[in-house]
Parts: sequence; structure tokens; C-alpha cells
Amino acid sequence: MSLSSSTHGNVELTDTNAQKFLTFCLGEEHYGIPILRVREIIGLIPITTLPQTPSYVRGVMNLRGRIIPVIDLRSRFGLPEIEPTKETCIIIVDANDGAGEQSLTGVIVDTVREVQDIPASAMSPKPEFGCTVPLDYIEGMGRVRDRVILLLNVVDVLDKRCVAGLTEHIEDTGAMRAAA
Amino acid sequence: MSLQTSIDAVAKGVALADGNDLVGLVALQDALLALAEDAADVHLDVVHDVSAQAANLVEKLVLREIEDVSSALKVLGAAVEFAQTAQRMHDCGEPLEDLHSPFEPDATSTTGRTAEIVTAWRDHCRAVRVALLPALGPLDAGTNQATIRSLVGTQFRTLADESMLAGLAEATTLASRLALVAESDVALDDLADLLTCALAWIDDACAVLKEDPQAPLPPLDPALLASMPEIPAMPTAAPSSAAPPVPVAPVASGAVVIDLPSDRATLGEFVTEARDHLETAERAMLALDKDPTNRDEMNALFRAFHTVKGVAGFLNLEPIVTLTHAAETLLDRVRSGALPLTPATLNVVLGARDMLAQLVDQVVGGRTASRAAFDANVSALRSAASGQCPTVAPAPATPSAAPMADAPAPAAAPTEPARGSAAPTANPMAAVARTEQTVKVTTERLDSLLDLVGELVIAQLMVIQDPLVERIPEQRVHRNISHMARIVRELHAVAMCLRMETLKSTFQRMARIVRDLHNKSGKLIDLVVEGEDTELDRTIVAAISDPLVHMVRNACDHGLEMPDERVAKGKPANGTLVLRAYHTGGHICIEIADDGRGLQREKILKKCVERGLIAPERKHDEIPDSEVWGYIMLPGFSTAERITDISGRGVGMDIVKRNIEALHGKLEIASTPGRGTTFRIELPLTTAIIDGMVVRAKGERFVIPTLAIERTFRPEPGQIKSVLGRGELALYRGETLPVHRLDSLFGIGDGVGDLSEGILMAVDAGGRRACLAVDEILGQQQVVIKSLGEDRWRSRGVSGGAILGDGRVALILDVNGVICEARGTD
Repeated sequence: MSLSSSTHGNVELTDTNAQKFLTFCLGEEHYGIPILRVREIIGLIPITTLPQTPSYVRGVMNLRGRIIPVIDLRSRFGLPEIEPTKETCIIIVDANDGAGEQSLTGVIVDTVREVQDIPASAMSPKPEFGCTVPLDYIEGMGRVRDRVILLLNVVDVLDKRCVAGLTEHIEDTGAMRAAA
Repeated sequence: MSLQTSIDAVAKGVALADGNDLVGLVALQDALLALAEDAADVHLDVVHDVSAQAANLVEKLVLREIEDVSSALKVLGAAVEFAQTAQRMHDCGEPLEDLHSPFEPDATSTTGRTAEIVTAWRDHCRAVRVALLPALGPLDAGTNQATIRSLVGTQFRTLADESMLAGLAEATTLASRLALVAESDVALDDLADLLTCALAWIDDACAVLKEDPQAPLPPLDPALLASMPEIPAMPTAAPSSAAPPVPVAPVASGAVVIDLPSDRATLGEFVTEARDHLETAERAMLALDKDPTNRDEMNALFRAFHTVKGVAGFLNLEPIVTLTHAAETLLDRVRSGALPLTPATLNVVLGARDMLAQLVDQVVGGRTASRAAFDANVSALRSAASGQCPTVAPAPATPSAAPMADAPAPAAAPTEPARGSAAPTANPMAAVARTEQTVKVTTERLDSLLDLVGELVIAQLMVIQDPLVERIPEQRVHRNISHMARIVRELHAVAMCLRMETLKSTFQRMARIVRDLHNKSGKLIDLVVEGEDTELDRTIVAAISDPLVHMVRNACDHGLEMPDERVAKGKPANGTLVLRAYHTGGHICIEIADDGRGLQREKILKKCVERGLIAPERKHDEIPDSEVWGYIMLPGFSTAERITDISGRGVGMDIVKRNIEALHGKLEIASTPGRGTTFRIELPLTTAIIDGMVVRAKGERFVIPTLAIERTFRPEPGQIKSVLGRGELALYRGETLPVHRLDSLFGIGDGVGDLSEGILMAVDAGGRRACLAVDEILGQQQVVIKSLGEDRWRSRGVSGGAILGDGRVALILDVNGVICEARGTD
């Protein structure tokens, strides 16, 4: 099921104040990633281990003839590993952080929920504490009905540089932006 | 001071110039043009003129319009001297009036011929003589009379044009009359007699002109002229080339004849390019129509005709060269401001463009252009260029050009029925129609097509190998599947061909380098090139170029000796460097072989000991050649006693080796002292596919490039030695090689277990050797190399991924990386 084609069409029409997010679960928490980042969602398929990579990098998989890396979001966030279920799936996201080329990465999540409109009014800055995920990957929070959805910064989540020295990285980019 | 620099650059270029070195000549032309500009900046107009003329001359050399290269080079030398003197005098503030430009005719000359033009004319005569050989020889029964007639006709028509340009009235008369005779119904034997007489006269004329370009020509034999029909419109007595050439159109009949070269591939490229240029020319002309002062468009227009002329000249497409040359002359005068760009001029050029389009079509078997229209076009261009008859030019030109532009039908009509009826004339057409057509495609699209085809192959395999499908009882299904498989296979083969490119241009580059080195070092080198048509993946062709340059340099600088040294050794003074490419069992080999002094084993060994690469106690005699030669590929290794600007810095062979290995290739060296060295590069046909051995280590599969594998064997228990804390060693053919377990290296196993239950693979990564321990060999197959996403999680020891038949990814090992990794962690 490809979501990209169905959502691409009305990007321009979307109210700038409301964004569409694909929501998914890791354990009890709900997360959202901007739908424009999502290329497709596939079931769990065999993954080949890559040597000398951080543990959260599961390896590489074959996406219709293209080899793309796959990361395990649970292990990325330091959550305990679980046995894959029928609902476990891989979200193919485009982690391209700007004008560069498409850079597809598979992200393993427990289960995919739905595509959710979150108006700006329902969004708030990231919490200072009190959630299981390292805050650096969170861009903000969205409230939908009685749920809180943690909105992820895809580029940072997938960026190797963020593994260690995360704060330095953020400071660096902050400094770069300031310099620019 | 930039003028001085420019002059120096030109002087150097002229000193190095060689009629066969096109790249050098083009560079020289650029240098001359730069000098012209610099001279204009400091108002040294004489130097500007001379260098512009010299640039023109060089261009003619490039286009092979001049055969007497040595005298042209002499003229260039004189031009350089002129520029140097002028600059000196200019610096001293002396007047420049006394300087005599090498391009300007002597003041005493009355004929208006320049030495340059006359030289060109003589060259042309020589070419005509060669071309006419078949017409002069005894006629075989099978000789096609029409071919000979048209051959003679074309040759003399061009000669007439040239003669007119050179201001040689007698020659013009003779040539144009002969052309007419040839195209009439005269018996071929009579024609041969006429030709013999005419050529004899031309030889005399050449001899006279060689002595003195300004000398009057010998008179024409009246008897010879009498045997030829008069040309009513030809101004036989006109002494000057400035007189407007009267179109010979009324008398000329039939179609334009283009002699096609046998090189169909080049011809196809020419046609594609020419069509591009025609489009550019048309666009430029339309823009110029609106804004006649637009210099960019003017230059684009000029370049379009110029490029077509260049390639056509290379392919000997006579009529096209004549036409484009005329157009170029006109445009050049307009460009330099000598002529205004009037709508009438533009019309003439537009007409020429349409005629050119027609000629290009004719090359690939389109309808033939009419001779009359062609001649009308050429003369319209010439009269416009002469600028002497500004009022006349538009008048004859526009009507003759316009019908062609608007309605090509009348021009084509008379030839149409002829095509249908006359079988012999239709024959060349059929041959021409097969000329390959090419389409420009961006590499991006090509790559994505190739990717998709690769995926299709895999998807198809997945369907075929699906157990469910295999169980289907119906024969029909299996027949259809195998049909599909065949198509996919062919599609794959075709797609792979799309990536292929010949080594021609790469080898040409080497020829250039050899020549440069010859100039620098004074060594005499004969370059022998073989197999330049060998096709390789274009990414490999691009990547192999630099390593080749390096190795060719090495061979010339270190390998080959100076001529006197060679003679002293009883070898011919000229060293031979062989560049050879050939196929061998799914690979491409490129060899660079010199017959020089060979690698100096003792010198290398001495250096090795100095650098601590070899234990000093090792007996040198026992070290195998392959190991010794391997050392020269280590970073920073050089035995050269002195560093030249060509090589010897010890940077190089290691990079060469690394580049070749990055292409999954292999470098081998063979050397005999005093007899020479051969470097042999073995490369896969394409970077997209490699031959690989699929092996299993614990639960994962890996692909090991077959090129890197020396041998696989199941070790006997006694073959393995365990060194406490230092890993394991295997005895293999009298050598002790370290054993690396793939499973522990890749973190998928514990690294224990009995090695003798698995397989050891002796691998060689360019001198670094080791044994890799795997559990099982699953088979050997060709795999398509894919990148593992981006470099984000690049790991050493893995060069890419391959999708195996079941759709899963197997990692392709980079053997060198694996060994490095293992040594680092062991």
C-alpha cells in the first residue's frame, strides 16, 4: 500500500496550519511522522545483517531490486526487543534532508495506526521529561482526541551522527544555522 | 606582460606541433587566438592579424585541408618569429612598418595569390591525383562507368573551385572543362587520355608554383582545350579570384554525388551530430533575423557550420565540405565585421542550411540533392562572401535558395523516378539505409532502465523458482514461462550492451601522452595499439583512464631506455610500447607492454630491506618474483634515483592498484630483465555484474568475487596451526596464510568450531593473501552489484550487496577490506 501517491496530490492544498502524520506504535506510545516522508509500508521481510554497524541497524533489505538499510526503531530508542508479530511492519521513509537525492530507509515499528491530520493548534513543543524516548528525536507533540502523539524528526532519527555526541551535533547545527 | 606569456605559449605550441596530433593543434589554435586577443588589447594590430591568420592555418591543419604539413609548420614558425620581433620592436618603441608578415604576399606580387593558398592548392592537386588513380588504370569489365565519371567530375569540380580561390585562371578553366567532359558521354578511354594530359599539366604547374608561388602558370595546350567543350559562362580569362563566380548550374546536371566512407558507425554519429548542428544553425539564424548584432548567435551559427565541416572533412564527404566551407567563409567575414549581415545574406545562409540538411539526409539514404541546386547554393555563398557584388548577391541567391527552402519537391522530383528504375544507383542507397541511427539519452534514464531490467531478471527468477509454480502440472504454463525467461534474458543482454563503450578514445589519449613524453624525454617510442574496439562498461572505461595514464608514463619513463642505451644493448633505438585490449573468458584484459630494461629486482629488494619490508636475513634468491613485483605497488615505493616531472615520486602504482581493485579487477606484472615489463590488467566486463562465489557462514550468505579467489579447499586437520592469542594459520602450498573466520568477523558467530568441517578459501587481494573460513560453498553465479543505500552505514569488508534468486540480499565481500579488518582486529 503506497501512501505517497494518494497524499502527494493534495500537498499544495493542505492548510499550512494542519499537517498529515502517519501514526504508529512502539509499545504503548503513539508516534507520528510527516506523511510526506513516507513512501510505503510493507510487512516484515528477511533482512540481511550488516557488519560493523550500530545495533539498531538491522541490516539491509531488498525493496524491489533496490537495497536499502533497515533500522529497528525499538532498539534505536533503547526499548526492549520483542518478537515480531503479524502487525510488525516496515515503514519506508525518505530521509533526504533537503535538496539531495532520495534516500530510502526502512523503519521497523510494532504496528501502523492511521493517517492523522494534526492542526497546529493541537501541536505543542516537546516535553521536558516524562517519556521513554530520547527527547532529541522529538520535534513536538500532537493531541488527537485524548491521545498524545510524539512527532518524530525523521532525519535525526535516521542520522548516524546522532548516535553519539548527540548534543554536540545539535549544537553544531545550531551554530551553523546561526552562522548562516 | 601577458602578451609575452601568450607569445611564449604559442612558440612552445609551434615547436611541438605535429600534423597528426590533433589535440595539440587545437591547443595551439587556442593559444594563437589568445595571442590575437592580447595583441589587440595592446594595439599591436599586425601581431593580431598574423596570429589570427596563423590560427586559421592551424585550423586547416586540424581539418586536414593541408597536406603539406611541414611547410605549413614553417609558416607558423615564421609567424611566431614575426610576433616575437614585433613585440620586441613594440617594446623599444620602434615603428613596425618594416616588418613583413609571413602571410602577406610580397609587395611585388601582382597575382594576389598567397603562398598559403597555393600550397593548399598543390596539396589538393596531389589528393586529386591519388583519387583519380582508378580512373586512369586499365578498365576492368566490372568497373562501373558511372562511378568513374562521377568520381572524375566531382574531383575536378572541387579542383576548379580551389583553383578559382587560388586565382589560377588556367587551372580553373582546365578543371571545370574536364569536369564537364567527364560528366558527358565521352568514352572512358578518351577520358583517360584527357586525364593523363591534364594531370601532366597540373604536375608542371605544381612544380612551377613550388619554386615560386607567384610565378605565371605554364600555358595550356590548345589541343587539349580543343578536345573539350567550351564553357559558355566561365570567365576563362578572368585573372582574379575576386570576380563573382558564375554558377555552373545550367550545365551541371543530375544529382550530387557523395562518396561514402565505409565506416558506418562514424557516419551515423556524423548524421546525428549534423542534425543537431543544423537545428542550432536554424535557431541562431532566426534569432539573427530579429537581432543581426547578436554576437552569441552569430558565433553559434558559425560554429555549427564549422563543426559539420570538420567532421565531414574527416569523413571525406566532399560536397558537404564544399558547401559548409563556403558558408563558413561567408559567415567568418560577417563575423569579423567585413560584411554586414543583411537579410539577403541570411537568406543565402538559410538556403545553404536547407541544402546541407538535404545532403545529410542523402548520406543516410534520403533523397538525393540536385546538382544544380547545390551549385547554385555554393556560388550564392561565394558571391555573397566575396562581397563585391552586394547588389547581385541577393538577386540570384534568393530565388535559388527559396524554392529549396519552401518546396524541395522540384529539386527532388527528377531524381525520384531514377531511384525506382535504376538498380545500380539504388544499391548504394540500400547500404546507406543501414547506417546506425543514434539517439541521445541521459545517463540517468539509462541507469534507471538498467536497474529496472536487473529487477525484472530477479523478479522473473523468483517466479520461476517458486515451488508453487514448479508444481503446476500444465505444460502450457511452463512453456510460457520459459518463453518469458528467454525474452528477459535477451532484454538483459541488450540492456547490458547499452552501458558498453569502446576503449578507442582512452587509447587515443595514451597516444597523445606517449608523444608528449617523447618530446620531453627524447626517447624514441613506437606505440602499438591493439584491440581499441574492445567494449567495456562505460564506468570502467572512465575509471581505467587515469591508471592507464600512469602506467604508460611509468613504462616510458622507467621502462624504456634512451636510444643510445638501447643501441648499446643491441636493441632497436626505438622502444616499443604495446597497448593491447582483448577479451578473455568473461573478462577484459588490458596490457601495457614495453621492451625496455625490465623491473630491477635487486634494486627493489634493496629498497625493501631498507624500508624493513623484507627481513634482511631472507635469501633474495628465494623470494618469488610475484612477491617482489608486489612491493612496487606499495604506497610511497619508488626505486627511481631521480625524480622527473613525469614520474618517480613513488606515488602511483599503489593508487593504480587501488583503482583497479575498486573495479573488481586484478593487476599482474611480468618482467624480464633487459627484455621489458608487461602490466596486465584484468577487468570485469561491467561494474554492474561480477562473477561471484556464493558462500554460507552460519546463517548468512556472502558473495566473494571469483577474481580474488585463488583456490578453495577443505583443510586437513594437520594443515591448521593455532597460534595462541594470534589466531590461526593454514599451510597452503608451502606457505603459511592467516585464517580469518567470516562468521566471527561479521559478528554472526562465535568463531569456534572445527575449521576442517568447513571450507577454506585462499584469497589474494593484490598481494595481501589470506584464507577465509566459511561453512559451505553454495555455488558460483553472476550477481548484479547494488549499492547498500548511501554511505551512511558503510562497513569495511563489504563492497556492496547482491540480490540472490530468492530475493534476499547477500553482501558482496571486499576481500582487501576483509583482510584489513581482520588484521586490525586480530
